[in-house]
This record gives sequence, structure tokens and C-alpha cells, in this order.
Amino acid sequence: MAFHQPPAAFIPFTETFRLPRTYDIRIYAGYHDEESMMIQMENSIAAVMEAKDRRKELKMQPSVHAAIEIAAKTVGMDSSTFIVSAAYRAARDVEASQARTVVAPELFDAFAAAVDRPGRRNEALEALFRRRRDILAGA
Amino acid sequence: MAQIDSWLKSSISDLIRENRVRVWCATGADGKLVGFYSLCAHQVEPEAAPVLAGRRRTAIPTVYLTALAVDGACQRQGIGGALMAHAIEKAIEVSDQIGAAALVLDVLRDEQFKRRKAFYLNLGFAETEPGGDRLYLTMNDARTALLAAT
Repeated sequence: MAFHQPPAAFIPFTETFRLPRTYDIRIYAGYHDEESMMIQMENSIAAVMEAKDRRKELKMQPSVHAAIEIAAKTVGMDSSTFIVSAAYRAARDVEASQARTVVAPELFDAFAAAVDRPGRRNEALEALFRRRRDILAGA
Repeated sequence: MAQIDSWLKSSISDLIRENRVRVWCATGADGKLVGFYSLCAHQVEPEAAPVLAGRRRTAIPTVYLTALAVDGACQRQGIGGALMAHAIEKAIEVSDQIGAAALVLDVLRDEQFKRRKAFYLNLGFAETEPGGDRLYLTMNDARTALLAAT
């Protein structure tokens, strides 16, 4: 399926950004009706309003290259935008994962109750602390 | 482990300089690195949900164990366990200084995942989500064990 211009159903959800010294990029951020057939992928770098003046040369296996090309076409992106967008999203996820744990409300309640509970004895942990002193001197 | 080697060599200096993590290294009698671990600030928070309106749920500060590794040539000497104990003691110190309710870590998902996870659960760690790889040890449990061991 190829669109020369977005169908009317897309328009309310479409934004156009002018990126410095590059080109306009149009992002289909969401679908208006359930009959749309295109798999969507959010462009995670769309809101990064900086010049694209850094390059990174990538080497990859032919099958990986082919899979990326197909997937990029499937979601209507060029492969460069697809790769950078996916990598940037992964980078943000890693950063966020290190900074915080986000859990469902009921799991958060369980966590909050657990950390408020008085400490409990644990023989394995006590033994670990005792062995530690024999192994790590001067610590 | 190649992933840890790469992280240690290429990333750690930047992360320390940028005050993202702190790293503690264990060295052998010959001065060579045998293992290390790293900690950073972390918090556990609830997903945003409309049902939370009117209920008091704020993020809880914790300490996160970013990495813990032992040189491949020094395995099975108790160094990993000793580093873990040291990391927990360090987390208790952090908690004493600025407040932290738990130590959080991720169990590496490889062929040893079940064995590693069982090891941590046996030490009193609990799952943040059922079946998940992110675990926590409450600071109260850690303090109680440390007190009993001394």
C-alpha cells in the first residue's frame, strides 16, 4: 500500500516539523479510524529540534539489513530514520530503566508496604555478610 | 563476559565523571582487578492512572545496583557474593545518609537466570513484578541481617 498523500483520516493527527538545514518530515503519529491497515511506529526523534550533523557508520549482517529495510517500508519510514528512531527509543528506555522502576499501582502498594515492614532475619544474608569479611580485606 | 568488559572499558569513566554511578573495585594481592560493582540513585514509582486521583502515592527513593561482575579467572571463590554483601552494606550507608528504602537490581537474563534469581530470592530479595527480573531488598531487612552478622 502506498500513499501519495495522507488520507483525510490522518490529517488531524499529522504534524509537520521543519528541521534545521535538512528537510521537512511528516509524521503519522496516530490513526483516526480502525480500518487503517498500516502498522505504525512512532518517530521518537521527531521532537528533537537539532541539526542532524553527526554521522555513524554501521556494519550489519545482510539478513539484518534486509529485515530493517522491510520493516522501515512497512511503517512508511526511510531506513535511516527507522534505525535512529528505534535506537534513540532504546537509549531512552535504558536511561529511564536505570533511573526508576515503574510498576502497576497494586504492585507499588505491595512494594511500599514491604519497605515499611520491620526488618526480618535471613540466615543466608547474614552468612553472606560474615563471609564477606574473610574475602574482602580492608573494605 | 563481553558485555561487561565493553561497559567497563568504554563507558564507566564517562559515567563516573558525569556523576551517574559510583564504582567499587576489588583487587587481588597482585593489584589486578578481580571484580567490581556499581551503584546509582533510583526510585520506584507507580504507573500514572486515573484511579490514583485522591490517593497519596509518591515515588520511593532506592539504590540501584547497575552492575556486579567477577573476572572469569576468579569465579567460584566467593568474590561475587562478597561484592554483593559489600554493595548491600554500601546501600545501607547511602540510606543512612540520604534515605533509600531498598536496593534494586536486575537479574541478568542468560542461561544462568534461574540459578541467579534463586540466589537473590534466598537472600531475601523480592520481585517488583511477578516473574520479572527486577528484584529488591528492603533496607530494613538488610540492616537487620547486617546487625545480626556483626
